[in-house]
Amino acid sequence: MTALAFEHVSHAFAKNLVVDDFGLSIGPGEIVCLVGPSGCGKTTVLRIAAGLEPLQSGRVAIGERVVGDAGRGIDVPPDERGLGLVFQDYALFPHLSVAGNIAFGLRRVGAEERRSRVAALLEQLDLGRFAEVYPHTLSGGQQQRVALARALAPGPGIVLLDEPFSGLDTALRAQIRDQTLHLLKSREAATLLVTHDPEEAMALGDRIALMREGRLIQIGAPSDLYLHPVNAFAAGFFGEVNRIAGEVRAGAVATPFGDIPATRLPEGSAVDVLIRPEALQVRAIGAGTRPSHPAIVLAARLLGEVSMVHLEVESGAWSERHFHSRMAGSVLPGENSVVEVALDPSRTFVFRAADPK
Amino acid sequence: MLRGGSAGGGWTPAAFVVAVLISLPVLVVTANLFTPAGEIWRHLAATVLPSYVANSLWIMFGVGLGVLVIGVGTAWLVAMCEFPGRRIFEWALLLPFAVPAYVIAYTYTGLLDFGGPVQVWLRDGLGMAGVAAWFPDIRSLVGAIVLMALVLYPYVYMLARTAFHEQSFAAIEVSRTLGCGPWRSFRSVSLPLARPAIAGGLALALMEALNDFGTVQFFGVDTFTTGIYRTWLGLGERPAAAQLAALLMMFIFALIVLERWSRGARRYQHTGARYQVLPRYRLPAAKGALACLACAAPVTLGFLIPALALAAWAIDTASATVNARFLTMAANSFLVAAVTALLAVLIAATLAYGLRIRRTPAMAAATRIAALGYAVPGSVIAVGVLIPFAFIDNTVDGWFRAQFGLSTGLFLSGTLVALVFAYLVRFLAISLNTVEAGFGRITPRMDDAARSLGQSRGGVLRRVLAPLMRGSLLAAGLLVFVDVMKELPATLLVRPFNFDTLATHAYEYASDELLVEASSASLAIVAVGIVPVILLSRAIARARAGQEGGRAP
Repeated sequence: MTALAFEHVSHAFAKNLVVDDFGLSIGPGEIVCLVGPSGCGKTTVLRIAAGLEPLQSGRVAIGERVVGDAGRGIDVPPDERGLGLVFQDYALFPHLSVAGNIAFGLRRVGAEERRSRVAALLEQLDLGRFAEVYPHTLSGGQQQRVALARALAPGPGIVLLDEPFSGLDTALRAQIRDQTLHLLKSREAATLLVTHDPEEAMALGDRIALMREGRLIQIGAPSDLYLHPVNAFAAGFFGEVNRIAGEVRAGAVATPFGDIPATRLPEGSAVDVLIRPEALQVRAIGAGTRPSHPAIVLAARLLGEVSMVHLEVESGAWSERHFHSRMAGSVLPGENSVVEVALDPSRTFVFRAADPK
Repeated sequence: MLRGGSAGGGWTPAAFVVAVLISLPVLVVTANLFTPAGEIWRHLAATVLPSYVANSLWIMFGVGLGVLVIGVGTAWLVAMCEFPGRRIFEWALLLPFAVPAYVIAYTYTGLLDFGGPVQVWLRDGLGMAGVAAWFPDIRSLVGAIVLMALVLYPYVYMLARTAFHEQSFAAIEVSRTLGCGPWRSFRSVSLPLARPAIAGGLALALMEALNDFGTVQFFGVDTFTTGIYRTWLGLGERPAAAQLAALLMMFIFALIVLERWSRGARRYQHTGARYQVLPRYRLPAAKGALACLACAAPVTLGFLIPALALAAWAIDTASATVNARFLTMAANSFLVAAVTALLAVLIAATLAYGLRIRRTPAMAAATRIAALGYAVPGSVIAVGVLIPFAFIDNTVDGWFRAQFGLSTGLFLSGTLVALVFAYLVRFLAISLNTVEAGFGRITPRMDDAARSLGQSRGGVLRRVLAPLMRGSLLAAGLLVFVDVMKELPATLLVRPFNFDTLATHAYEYASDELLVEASSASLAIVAVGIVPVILLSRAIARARAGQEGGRAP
């Protein structure tokens, strides 16, 4: 059972291909975050789903109903698709009050029903006081909530959100994000949320779809994308990585912190090794022992729950000598001290050097 | 730009059809450039054509010079200097816009001719018996040029003033720190930077000068417009009139090119700090008084004197002239102006919405051609409307005669339909520009949001866009309304038999030398003409406050 499905959707502006053979299906009640760098085509995918962008090739289905099929010339206009849509700039109607905005999509509903639905949403989103106020007098967070209420009022089975939190300042963002998450979950609407912010995607998505240059790179649970990225781009997108170049020898790649197994890659191939900062754990060197993987501490900073340690390894054949380590705890090693570094291979990824960075 | 789902619905084709229809007269006239010349044409070319060309060129040269001196000079004073009355002159300099050229011509003739108060006073009051011998004849080419310059300079003033305001603060500051006084920084910085805007205003003023019929007809100066009128109505030589119209279009095309170029060049001008208020030169007392005088002169000559004279005459003659017939004419004017304004706004909204949905090259081109009418003289448009309408009338009539043996007569030509259509062709551009600007200030996300909430394309226009741009729609309608009230040459040629408006009434009374009796109609036209001046000055005030709605991201 799927609520919204894309099959082989491609889209070009002028001759510029911005969506390239895109496929994705979203289950009922599921929240999927479509994430990628700006200009990767993610907003175009959302606009195609809404019917705001004419479908050029491929198919789009809402539930069992095919709303777009370029091959058969089907392209249902946006007003007949019954989707909820929240825009980055909210696009509230300035000539209507908050209640008028929320009621805008409730045309085929009786006056009594309309009033009660608007009242319920105002209540649920803590906007009761603002029912008769005009949008330009509201704060950014309040406007965002009105936009969400307006999209949800007709009770759509699918909600599309385009960068809904990017206009909010950081202090407010987490709170509104939480509120939105709970509201969407309580409505059991299938949700496609477009964002450029990987942290936001991980905080909200049941699944995450990662796009780059019009192509779907990887789709899966947030932990899949973080722990099992399919390429260097995916690994780098969801968190900081230390990068070092290497070569496969005897089924492993040498790093300053020990060998990493790389049995799936052919012998002698050039590779990039990506090491998450938390994969590097720094320990003091025991008295009288010789460190097997030593490094010099350049700087150590406490960032709150974690500490960041800047390390430098002895010059050797390494393409990179500077590494970041992130560790729990607040005990910081002294600057210029020599420490032992242990590597966690489960947070370390090896990709062919030809892979996109 | 906004891309639609699937297609534009019915909007794009509808807009395209309307655009083509409105372009028809301009295309018909232009096509006459390529038709072979007839006998009467050779006759015209041998006799009157050289004087048409010469007079039209003299008018363009003289009016051009006049509007440049008055328009640029006052614009610079008002934008860059501080002197007594500056804030009043800022909008008062627009007032002559309210006076059509033919009205100022009738008024000054009434004031300055042999029987007018000035000569009477010189003769009787000062005892100069021979005044008529040396007093300049206002009814001449020079008189026409001076009077037209007095009412057309606001085009240059308006655009030049805006350009001076928008000029880079830094460029002026730098020139001042480099030791340029007001005069040198005007010549070496301000003027070159404002040149495109000035050229645009000049082009508009010259288009209006070429459009003029009432003044040159009344002054007996033969130009293309009077030639077209005489050849069409007097000689009944329609192909020759059409060729004169086509020839006049060549002048107009040159001006359109000038105006387009100036728009293109102006686009690159918006540099930095736009809302920074330029510190003005504080003029010392003597110079300040001179500046005040320089600004007061065009306002007085172009608006105050004619308006006051008209008011005085109208009060004198009101009991005789404001009768049932006058009220009928006022109602006629109001009716055609209101109908045209309503249709112009509806058509402009259709075209602009069609463009908003899908800006295809064909659609954009059709709209541009439909909007060319603003540049085309009313007499030319009249010819371009009457020729195809007569063709349709004759074809339908012939068909009915052949099929049923009955005549349908003229059901388009000589009707209000033809007149309103001619007005629409001429003034659509005014409503289109205003409505397009209104659309431009509304982010396309509004359309998207309304569509996703279940509104059709028409619903988006009705429920979201129209309420949001009520002000623009109203302004568009008002501007068209006023221009229709003032329009003379097209009305004269296309109007139904015995259909009089205030403009044709003023024209006919003036032709009969009943200048004082024409004053009530003229005054009514001037009074209505003040409305857009108020709109313009309010827009200027808003822009100054930096409230101009920018396009949302």
